Amino acid sequence: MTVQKLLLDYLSQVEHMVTKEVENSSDELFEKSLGGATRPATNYMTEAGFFCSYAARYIKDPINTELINAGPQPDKTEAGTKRKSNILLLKGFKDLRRAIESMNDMELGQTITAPWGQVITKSHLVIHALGHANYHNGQLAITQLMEGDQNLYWIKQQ
Amino acid sequence: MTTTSLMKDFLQEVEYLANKDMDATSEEDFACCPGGKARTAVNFMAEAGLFNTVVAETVRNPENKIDMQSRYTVLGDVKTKDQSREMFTQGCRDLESAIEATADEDLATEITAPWGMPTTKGKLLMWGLNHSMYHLGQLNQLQLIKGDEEVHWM
Repeated sequence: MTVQKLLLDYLSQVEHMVTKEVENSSDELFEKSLGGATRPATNYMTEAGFFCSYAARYIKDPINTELINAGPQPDKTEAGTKRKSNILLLKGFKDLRRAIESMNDMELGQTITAPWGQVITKSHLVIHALGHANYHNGQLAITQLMEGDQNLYWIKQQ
Repeated sequence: MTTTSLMKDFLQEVEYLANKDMDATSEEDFACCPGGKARTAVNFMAEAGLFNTVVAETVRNPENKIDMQSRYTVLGDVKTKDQSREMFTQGCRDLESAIEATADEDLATEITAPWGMPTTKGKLLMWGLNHSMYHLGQLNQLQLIKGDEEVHWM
């Protein structure tokens, strides 16, 4: 199995899981903060989309793409509504898919500096961006659980 | 770079993130039940580990059908953060061994996941890692609910 195929399969898996959870969250739940230092899904799911789009740009053109700061920047990632957040999330997956499809394994194996300073392969950044999206998907799921919704929407397979 | 070396890089990252966040979460917070309805971190981190162990066994021996419901009964005995962490770490070691034992060309071999889904060895291994990321996000959410907004792995 090529690296490109693994990444495309993984992208489909993450997109399926995230899409199912988002589809089954009400606007109200999506905009809800759980208190403390938590953010609403309109913020962290938007961040997940932005990061996928950023990873797509960065692996295609690391020289001319500015290195972003690692970590949450909530003031820059608030979409306000579920609809807007979902558009940006889906754009992130689309951007990443296009970038992966345009690169071969040799290109995907080239190294870059990650936003957190580590030298990693381009394919590793893709995996990190997708893992990050599912990390936040787990947060959306726990919000559903806390509201009494025990369904695992992503478990129904593609 | 090989496909399996990429998987090992991801596994290393997942384990690193998990260890940092588990270090930063108290025993009390590990055992709390958010909103009185969600699962405790003791339960879901142990489950993430057990899931990786089951994935690893399936990839190494696809003919051996695993009864997940029966395997998961052990989770009822996991009561502490240390027990949960031990199970998570064991899952990482099992997954690592399974990745090392699988050649790149074997990752496309079609198998059936323990829950009946047709898949490939490569996809199933990624399911394991992805599932861990999902629960790591939940562990982080517990920290945030308590007001801890530090990114512990950075």
